[in-house]
Amino acid sequence: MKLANWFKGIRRPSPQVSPPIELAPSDTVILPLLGHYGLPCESVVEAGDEVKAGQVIGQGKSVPMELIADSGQALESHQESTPAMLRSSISGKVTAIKQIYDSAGNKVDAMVIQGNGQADQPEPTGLSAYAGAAEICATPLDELLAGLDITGVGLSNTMGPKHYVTMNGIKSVRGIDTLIVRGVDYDPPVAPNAAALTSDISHIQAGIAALAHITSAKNVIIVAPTGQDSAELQDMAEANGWKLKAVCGGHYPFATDNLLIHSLTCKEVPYPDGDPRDLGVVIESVQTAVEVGKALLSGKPQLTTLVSVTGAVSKPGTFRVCLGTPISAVLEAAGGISDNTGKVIIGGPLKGYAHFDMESPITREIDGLYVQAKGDMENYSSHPCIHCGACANACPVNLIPGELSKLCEFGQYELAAENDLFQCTECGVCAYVCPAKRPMVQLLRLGKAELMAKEVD
Amino acid sequence: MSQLLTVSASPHILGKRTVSSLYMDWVIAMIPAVAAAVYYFHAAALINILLAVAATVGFEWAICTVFKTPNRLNDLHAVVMGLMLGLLMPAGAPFWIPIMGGLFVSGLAKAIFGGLGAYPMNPVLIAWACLSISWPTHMNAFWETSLAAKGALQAAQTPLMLLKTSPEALKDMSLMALWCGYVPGAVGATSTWAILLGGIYLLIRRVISWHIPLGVIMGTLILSLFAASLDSNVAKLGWDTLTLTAFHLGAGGLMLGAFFLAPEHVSSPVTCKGMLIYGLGVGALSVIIRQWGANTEGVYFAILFMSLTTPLLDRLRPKVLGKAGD
Repeated sequence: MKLANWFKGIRRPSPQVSPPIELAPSDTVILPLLGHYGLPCESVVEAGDEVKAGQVIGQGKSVPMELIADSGQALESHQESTPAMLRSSISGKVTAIKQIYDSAGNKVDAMVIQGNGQADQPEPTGLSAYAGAAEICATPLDELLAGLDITGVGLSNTMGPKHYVTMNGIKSVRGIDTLIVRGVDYDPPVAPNAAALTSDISHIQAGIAALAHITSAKNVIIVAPTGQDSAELQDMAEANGWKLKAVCGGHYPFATDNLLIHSLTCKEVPYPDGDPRDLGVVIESVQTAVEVGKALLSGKPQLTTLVSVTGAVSKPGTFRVCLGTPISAVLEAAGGISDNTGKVIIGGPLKGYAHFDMESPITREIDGLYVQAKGDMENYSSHPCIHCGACANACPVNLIPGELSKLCEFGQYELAAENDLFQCTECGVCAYVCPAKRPMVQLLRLGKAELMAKEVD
Repeated sequence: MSQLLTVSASPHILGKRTVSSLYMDWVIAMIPAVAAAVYYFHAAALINILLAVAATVGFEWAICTVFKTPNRLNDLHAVVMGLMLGLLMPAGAPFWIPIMGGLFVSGLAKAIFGGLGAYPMNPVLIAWACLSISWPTHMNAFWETSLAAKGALQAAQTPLMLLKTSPEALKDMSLMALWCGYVPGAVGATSTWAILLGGIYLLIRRVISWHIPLGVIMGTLILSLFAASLDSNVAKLGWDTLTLTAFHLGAGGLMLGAFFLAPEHVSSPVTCKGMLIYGLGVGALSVIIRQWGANTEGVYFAILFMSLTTPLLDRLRPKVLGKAGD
């Protein structure tokens, strides 16, 4: 932790962490027909068909991908990803393929599967189960990657295409030296990563070993919230030559990827278009590591994800749910929402999106739900900026948000852009500390949108 | 489950601090200074402070009513400005001086520039400057304090006036008396210890940042060390170099300036570098004006001057994190 960062950001209470609760498969799951990186895929079953848990129900196109390997290590056989495979998360009957709202509020095609009530184990995929971390590390890279593709674990931070995929840039070999496994949560009290840290230690170990093997990173840093760096984790880190760092779990927004990389390695990831991989750093959440570990140790596709539900619910907690479970079913498990509920927020209270459709399915992108009671909803005001400097002192990327908000309020967008408007990460700290309750983030977003619209014209 | 939910953009939670609670902290921080003022100068101080607050709030309300603008009296800004103005009044000022001061604060210095958040200089200091230029005799009607007086409070000269006019008189004054507020002066500016108490409260509550007070103190320290080697009075009084520093830090409301007037939010810079330079400038200019200027009250003019540099100092930004090409 850098000293200068100590006074920046805001202090939120550290989340209450409890081990994840397994949730029985819901009656119906809704699976958006999307493959890797949000590219659409074709359904290979029809309405009325019986499907089994783990059966492939949709197939996407291959995408060119960027592989990370030791310099010089050619991976000819794996220049493109295995076609994305969408698997059913429960056994049952396909009832319909219809348009639904996804978590971002967009309409997408999705397959609705009515469960038959049997908690079937996923079908074997022909993938052999690994015995442990040592065996994983001895496996050739392309075999390991092909296996992971089959199990459907998303490694978008490690393997995803960059924002700017070049025409011929199918593969670029880059030297990765640091792998950061993020066990802290960026938006407390929504804390799926802290809950994932309580998972079976063998899964965590296998997952991190696999990620380190794939990235060929020499330094592995596991970041855990203070108080969660248990002896078990410390032993594991020591045995493997990894580092375990404890950071304050409630210090928002210093658990976001770029800021975590900056405070751990002093490397500055350019924003908004930067990729930590260009600096030799890969950051993955501990959730992903656990998924990878589970997939490799069991040899089975991963059909569940962790969702942390907090806020104005009677039984908050972290749940392991089948992919495609409607949000309403997860909320029901956490005690349900009532007439008094004002907002259901996907993500956390400071960076999340308030959602409207409780029938939207849980996908891997959703890591938490924050329920807000009607009485707790905040109102912004049109009070002028009083130039108190609270936002400038709190801004994690050293902007002067108060000035930017004034410029955007009065239409001086170009001037705002000159003052680094586009470096704003929209973390919401400035709005949180603003005594005048100005809609800071909204004004900055307005500025960005106006400038982007102008650029398109 | 067909309930209508609210959809809005993030962030969905906001902090507890509001403009009213922010200025409530200023009011709380000024309680020790006000109490000390009333204890040292009796009813004269209380009447001046109450009149200043009432006039500032009253004129603000009147201006908002006449010009049909929404009044924001409940944000307590007018109360804070009135209290500060009251603290700058000499005990012997006639009753209409604080009332005129209130008009200057609310009308001339605040409303004309566009209200809270828009004025370029601290309204209290603009009002103080107007008053002391317009009615110098009334604004210099300082009294000795109740602790030093035998019987009724008498008119007296402040230590800073003595430094200009008859430095040998300072020989009898102990520095302890200066820091404890036994000396004549404006009702709120003499009780240095009470001001420090309030200032520490502001720092702990993080209402003001430590940069400006530190800058002011450092600026005063550096320039007064420099002045000590040039000023012949220092040798005459038998003071050593640090005595002059302690004198400048304790006298004439420098602490009031460092903790209450200079860090006033609207007219001071927001970046760390800017705040430090602003503070250093205030401290250095205070000593320069006191030692070599015509006016005795160096701090207030120094703050007014440095406020003008605020837009410039606000351009001293820290390096933005994650900016491509850096």
